[in-house]
This record gives sequence, C-alpha cells and structure tokens, in this order.
Amino acid sequence: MRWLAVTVALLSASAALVAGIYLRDRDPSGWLPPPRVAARQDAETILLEIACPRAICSYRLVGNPRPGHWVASLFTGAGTVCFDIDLVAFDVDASRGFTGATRVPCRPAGTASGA
Amino acid sequence: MRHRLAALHAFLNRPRLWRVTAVMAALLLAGVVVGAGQGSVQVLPRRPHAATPPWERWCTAGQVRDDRKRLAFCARVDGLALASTTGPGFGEAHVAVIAGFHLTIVRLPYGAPVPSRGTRVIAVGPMVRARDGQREVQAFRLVRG
Repeated sequence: MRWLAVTVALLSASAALVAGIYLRDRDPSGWLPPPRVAARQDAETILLEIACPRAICSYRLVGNPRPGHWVASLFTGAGTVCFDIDLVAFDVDASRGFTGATRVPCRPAGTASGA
Repeated sequence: MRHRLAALHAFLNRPRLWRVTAVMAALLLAGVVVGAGQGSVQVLPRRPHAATPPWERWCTAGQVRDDRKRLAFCARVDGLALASTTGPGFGEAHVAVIAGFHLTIVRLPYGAPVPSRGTRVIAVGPMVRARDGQREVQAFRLVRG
C-alpha cells in the first residue's frame, strides 16, 4: 500500500506541475511591473523623449484617476506640465515619439516623486 | 459490506505492481520537470533605452497586431513545440511552446511552415494576450532547431 501512495503522490505532483504552469500563464498580469513602477518608467521615458536633462528636470506621480491611468507632473525648468499616462497604451516610437500619454491640467497633489 | 472491503483490499494489496507504477510515475515526473524546464523565456516589458540584447532588433521588424492587449514590448521564447493549430485565417498558425516552466503561444509569421511536435522553436516578437488568455508571442523572427 505504501507504493500505491507513492504512485498517487508522484502522479499528483506531475499533474499539479502541468496544471500550475498552465494556470499561472493564463494570468499575464504577473509579467507586468506594478502600475506605479510602470508609471514611473513611462514618466522617465517622457523626460527622455522631450530631451530634458536630468539635472534640471524631474517628475512626480500626482494621481491615479482611474485604473490603468496615472498622472505625472513633469518639472522641465521652464515650467510644469502634467500628463495622463495610459499604462497599457503608452509606447515609444522612433519616428512618432511617445504615444499613450495626453496632456492634462495640473492639480495640486503629491504621491510619489523621482528625479 | 465486509466482503466488498476484503475484495478491495485484496485488489489493492499488490506491492510489486505498485512498486513498478511508482517507478514509472517517478520517470514521468522527471520527464515533465526536464521537459518543462528546458529552454528559456526572456521578456522585455518596455522598449530598452540602453544595453539591448542582440535579438531586440527583431522586436520592431513587423506590424504589431492591434486587436490584442499588449503585455510586453518584446519577448524571446526558446523551447519545444507541444502542439500546433492552423487557421482560422489563411496562412495563420499558432504553436504552443514549453520553455523555462512557461507555456507560451507563438503566432507564426504568415506562410511559415508549422513545426512538428518536439521541434525546438526560437521566436522573437511582441508579447500580447491571446484570445484564450494565454501569453502569445507574435513571431517576427522564427528559428527552428
């Protein structure tokens, strides 16, 4: 009977491994960085795309108005501009620049910052 | 009732048989671990600005389909083909690839020959969400081993 239990345990382990791989990969959210981290990366990318030197420019994440959207406030030396970043749609193209971020009015708030 | 229990006990009391099945189950588990663990999956969540891997140049070598949610800028999958399907569109084919303990669907370039089961497949392209929820690499570059 002991070997029967061993057999059942090993077969269960095989089935669990296969099922685990299948089910885990059905949830692709684990491959994306957390929304706040993604928003930071996108804000830094916008700074790079507008060729704003890091010594002068910085950004802050000032809000998360709705799921998948973050508002970043960019300090460019000449002033402050705010962008609503769509985390899913945001992309950078060599010819068109960045897409998926729209300019929005800045509102006083503060949640996170980066230089 | 007691008679049935005795019959069941007699049926199950076959230590030699269960020893053999245990060995076979151990071999099966080892095969699953080795088969699922081979290969690799590399994902670039965002377009890199510096220190790009050599395969990154293939990530923009085609038109990304816009009818699927994009999960990552690009991915490189190096694994074994498990199964394949063709259609519904003309020249459209998908291959399920197991690599690095991950199952990934690879959408082949139009007209590409479909690799048979067990063939080594290396695919590079944007990662999107397949219709069934799995991760799908839209292969702009495909190499078969």
